[in-house]
Parts: sequence; C-alpha cells; structure tokens
Amino acid sequence: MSKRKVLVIEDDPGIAKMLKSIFLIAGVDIVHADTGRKGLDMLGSEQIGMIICDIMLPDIIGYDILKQIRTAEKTGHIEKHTPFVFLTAFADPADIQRGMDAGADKYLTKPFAAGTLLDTIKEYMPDETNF
Amino acid sequence: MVNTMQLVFNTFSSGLLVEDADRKIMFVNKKFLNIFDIHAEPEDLTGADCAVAAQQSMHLFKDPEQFLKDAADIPLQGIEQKDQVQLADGRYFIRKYSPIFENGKLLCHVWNYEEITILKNKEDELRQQKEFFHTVLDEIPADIAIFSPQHRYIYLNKTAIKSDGIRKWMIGKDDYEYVEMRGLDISIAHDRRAKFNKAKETRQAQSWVSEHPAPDGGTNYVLRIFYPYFNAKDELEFVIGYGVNINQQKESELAVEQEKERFSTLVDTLNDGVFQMTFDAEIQLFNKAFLKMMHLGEIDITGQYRKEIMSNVYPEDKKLLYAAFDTLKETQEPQQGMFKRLNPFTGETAYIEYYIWHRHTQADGDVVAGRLSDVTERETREHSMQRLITKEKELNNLKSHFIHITSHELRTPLSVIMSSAEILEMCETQGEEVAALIDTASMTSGIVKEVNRITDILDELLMVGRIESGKIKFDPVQVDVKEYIDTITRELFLPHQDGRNLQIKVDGDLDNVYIDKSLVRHAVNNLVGNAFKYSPGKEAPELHVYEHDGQLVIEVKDHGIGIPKNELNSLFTSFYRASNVGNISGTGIGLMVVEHVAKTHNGTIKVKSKQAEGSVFTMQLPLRNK
Repeated sequence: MSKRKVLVIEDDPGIAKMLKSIFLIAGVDIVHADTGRKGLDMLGSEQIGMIICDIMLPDIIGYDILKQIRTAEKTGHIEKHTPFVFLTAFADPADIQRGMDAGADKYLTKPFAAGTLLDTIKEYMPDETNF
Repeated sequence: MVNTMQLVFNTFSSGLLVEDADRKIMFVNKKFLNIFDIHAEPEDLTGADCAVAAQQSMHLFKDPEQFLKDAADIPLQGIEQKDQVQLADGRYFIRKYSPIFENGKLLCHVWNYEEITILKNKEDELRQQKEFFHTVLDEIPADIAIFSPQHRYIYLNKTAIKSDGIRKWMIGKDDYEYVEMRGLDISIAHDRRAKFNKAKETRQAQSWVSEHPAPDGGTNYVLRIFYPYFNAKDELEFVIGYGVNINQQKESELAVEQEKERFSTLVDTLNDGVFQMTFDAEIQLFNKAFLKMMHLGEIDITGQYRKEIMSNVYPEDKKLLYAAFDTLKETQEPQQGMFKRLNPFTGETAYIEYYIWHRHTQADGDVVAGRLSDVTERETREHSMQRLITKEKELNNLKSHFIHITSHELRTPLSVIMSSAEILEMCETQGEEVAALIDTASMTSGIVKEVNRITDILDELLMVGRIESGKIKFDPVQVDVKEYIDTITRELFLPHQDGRNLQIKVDGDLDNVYIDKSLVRHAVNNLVGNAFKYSPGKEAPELHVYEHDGQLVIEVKDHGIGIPKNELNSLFTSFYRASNVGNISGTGIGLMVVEHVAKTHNGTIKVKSKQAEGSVFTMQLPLRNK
C-alpha cells in the first residue's frame, strides 16, 4: 500500500510554503492546490489521507469544498470518510461553529503552532507519520 | 206771458230772484223758495220788499250780518259779482249778482243761487287728502323728489329741502340750477343726470350711495334711487327720486367690516394655516399662514378650487389629500396626515401636517374646515437624526467588518512568521538531518516579507487615520512620468505574484509634471493591485498613462469580476467592499485612499464597470500642482 498524502488547499503562497516545510520535516507527503477546483481534482487522482483547507479561496469557499466531499462520500464517489481540517484566519466562534456544522473534523485558526498541526496529522494519519 | 216765464224759471236748477230798481221783488222761482225754505207760491211774493225779506231770512245764513250787509251793498256797486255763501245748515252756494240796465238806466237786479254743496265737500275732501299725503311725504325720513321726464323737479318733500322758499323755487328747476344756486360742485349734477338717463333708458331703478359731509364733521351716507314710472300708455310719466340716510347701516356695515378685519388680523397672526372650503372643493376662507404653507404668495384665492391651491404639493401627496377629502365627505370623520410641498424657486421641501373636519355653519351650510401646521423643522430634524443614526449604523457595520477583515488579513502573515520561527527552531533543536531539509534563508526572507505585508496593512490603516484627520502631507515635485511609472511598476508588479505581467503604456513626453510621488505611488499601487486581485485567472490588467486636456490621466483596466452598478457610488467609502468580492481578501481601504490622492491633487477619480467583464478606473490629475 502506497503512502497516503495530505491534501493542502491554500491560496496564500507563504502559508503553503510553511506547510510544505513542516510536513517535510515530519516526513509526511503533501500535495498542494492553490484553488478549490484544483484541490477537488487532486482528491480523485491522489491517495489522500486527510485534507487541510483554507476557507477564503479565490474560486470556491472552503465550506462548499467540504460539502462537496461529504456528498461524494455519501454517494460512494469517495470510498470512505476523509478527515477534513479547516486552517483559516476566521477565528470567530461563529465561524468555527459554521465550519464544524459543515462537517469538518477539526478547525484550526491562524496563526497556528506547527506542533498543533503535527498532532492533528498524527491523530488522523498515524500510519503515515514517523515522528 | 208772466205765467209762461214763471214756468220756464221754475225748471232752473238754481234759485233765481229778480228785484226792480226800488228793490221790490219782481220775480222769484220755485227753486229759490226751496233753498230758503219759504212756504209760498212765487206769485205771492211779487212786490214784496227785498230789504224786509233779507231781514226775515238772514238767520238762514251762516254769517247773517255779512249777508245783510252784502244784500244792501252789492246792488249799490252796480256791477256783476260772484261769490260763495254758506247757509247755517251747511249748504254752499255760488251767489251771482247781475244788474240789468236798459239805455243806461237800471232796470232790475238778478240774484242767482247755485248750490255747490257736493262739489264743495268733494273739494274739501280732496284738500284734506292732499294735506294728508303732503304731511306723510314730509314726515317720511327720506328725501323724495318727483322729476319730469326732462329731469326737472315737480315735487320735493320737506325732508329733501327744509326751506319752504327754496322748495318752492326748486319746482321746474333742474339739478344744474340747484347746484349753481347752492354753490355745489357741478359734478354732482353730472352724476345725477347720468343716473337719471340710465334709469330712463334701462327703465330700471338706479341706485347708488352718495356721501355728503355731515354738520358734525362726519360723513352722511345716502342711498339714492331713481325710479322711472311708466303709465298705462307705456310713456315715462315721471321719475321718483328718493334718498335714504343709511348712516346706521353704514355704521353697522363698518362695524362688521372692522370686526371681520380684527378677526382676520387675529387669524392672520396664527402660525397655523386655517381654511374653509365647500364640499365641491372651492375655497371660501383662509388666513395668511395658509397661503404661506401652500406657497401661493399674498393673493386672494377665494373661489379657487383645490387643484389650483395645491399646485405646489407633491403629486403623490396630492392623491393622498384628495383621498382624505373624499373620505371626510363620505364619512364626515375628521382626517389628518402630512404632505410635502415644494418651493418651486428654492427647490426646498416643506412638510405640512393637516387636520380637516366637517363643519356646519349658518352662513355656508356644510363645509370642510382645515388646519395646517408647518412641521418642516421637526421633520428635517427627524430626518437628519434618522440619517445620523443610519450613518452611525453603517459606520458601526463598517467598523465590525473592518475589524473582522483586518484581523483575518493579519492572521495569515502572522501564521507564516510563527511557523517560520518554529521551523527555524526545529532546525536548531532537531539536528542536521532536519536542517538539511529546510532552506533557512528562504524562511528568514519569508519572515521579512510577511512583516512587510503586515506593515503595509498597518500603513494603510494609518493612512486612513491621517486622511480622516486631515494630516496628509502634500508635496508635489517635478517628475518625468515615464521614468516614474517605470520605477513604481517594477517595484510593485513586475511580475505580479500570480505570474501575470501588467501591460503598461505611457503616451507622450510627460517630463514636466508636478505630482506628490508618494501619494500617486499609493494610488497606482492600489488601483493596479485591485486590478490583479479581482481578475484571477483572467487576462492581465492594463495601465495606460497619457495627457488629455491639460490633465495627467492614469487609467487602470482589468478584465475581472466588475462592480455591481448600484454599488459604484459607495466604492470610495472607507472599508466598503462590493458585494461580489467573494473570498477575495481586502480591507476596503484602498479606493478611499485613491480618491483622497486625486482630491489632494485637485483631480478626479472615476470608474466604469460591468459585472463579469471588468472595470476601468480613471484618475485625472492636473499636470502642474504647486
């Protein structure tokens, strides 16, 4: 079984670069999409173990990406439940509630600690982590 | 012969007595005996002495002594005479005495008594009647004059002319002679003649009020009337003129007028407009404030209809007022509300509150009464209060929005900084293996870049603060536009972080332009930055700089999402962001700064946009700002 990857959907190049560095250190493979559309495409072409997604994206809002994924899971287009984590600057309790209601497994707010991110990966992809 | 004459004389209706020269009765007829109640045959009296007979019958006369005297004196005078005598019983007679001569010698005396009692009584009656009517006419408290068709006085009563002499003189005269005699103005005669002629021509009574100075220094008001009288043959027989003193009526009229004036003065001092109109919407009464509130000027609108009066009322409110009027008419329930009225000269709007109710008046029957109050001040205050509240709310919303957006905008660079720091720390603590994986130089430069990003946001915020407090420094210097645009675009956008290249075009030789380099850099940065930001995945934006009409034109065109038409006006408000920005980040500050830059340069900023097609922002700045 090939190693599953983390799908990062993030339009800000600075953040994307940080995430790549952190996962590189952790030994986790990632694929990066800077738009929602690209992210959804990668979900079909790659072995994805979990998704880390921004909310403010240039094309599709993060909540809608999550909804599409959950719908695909229900209809069998995606085999099983993929852990979905929002990583966003929206830090209001109302925003968090909205994200969890949309079906997210976790809601992380920016700025974030690298440790928290790594703990989250360990939680959802214990087999793929080497730390 | 004598007998035949006797029979003839006896047929006479008057009493006849003939005496001879010696005053002996020659002849007497039956009627004579009847008159004096003498019970004898006429023939029996022949030869009787007349003086004796007179003595015997004197008692039959009302004035016996006079009779006796006449009987003796008249025949002595030897001439024909005629007079009236009255008997003691009241009968009247015309006594005619005729001496008859033959060849100069007195032959006989003839006495003829003709009874005129009935005639006399009739005359008396007529005289009394005449006196009665004269008295009545004289006592009437009105001037009465009867004129001939030629306008000459036929009669005047005592009220008209007190002096008997003048009154008598006036008969047969006209007003020209009268005014000349009295030394009055001839115009009086002219006026009266004109009225007289008019009465004649129109066959109608003519009336007018003439004013005369009164003895007490006041004025006498006389109502004068010429009444033409046409007889059965339809000929003008006379004209009756009468004049009545109407001082009293005039006084009460004046009092009513004064009362009305006092009342209307009082009503005019009211700030509220009051009015009365018929149910056919015809105005009857109104005060000054009413005119003012309807903006009609100081005119008399009595008799005008609501349509004319409401010419300045807003059309939509006019409909409401008509409806209220109709409802009142139908239900008789008072109606109230408010309407707006335009001042056509200033374009200002007045807010008028109205209250109308049904009223029954003795003079006018059922009418609509109304009261108007100008509440413009209150309404304006309320409106401005409302505007302030709305503005306040808007500002509050904008503020919350701003805080939300800004915190979001700050969180992203902070994340990068924080993660970079953590990663660098890991490189330190977890040994060379980890360090080998990481490009630490890029980490530190990333930190610097994100700090700059935060600084930019903070700068923008400070800029807003400075703009709003008016503390922006304006420092125009001479620039070569081509060089200047080259420099700033290279610094800012070449290439843009998404890989697209700004299309730049600078026309003309613009080397002597005065602008504030820092401010314009801000503006261009914002406009071009926006053009990129709101056109992801589309053709690259274009920057076109040229001169037009003494202005430096900086035009930024994109092929992006565009701006909804109804939001174009709010675009330059601080923190405002169009509804279609979606997930594109931004603080809503940029365009406000751009507008400020334009204004500071005495220039303008305009936008043309079509949703889903793109926008063109055009900033025009005067070439020389010093």
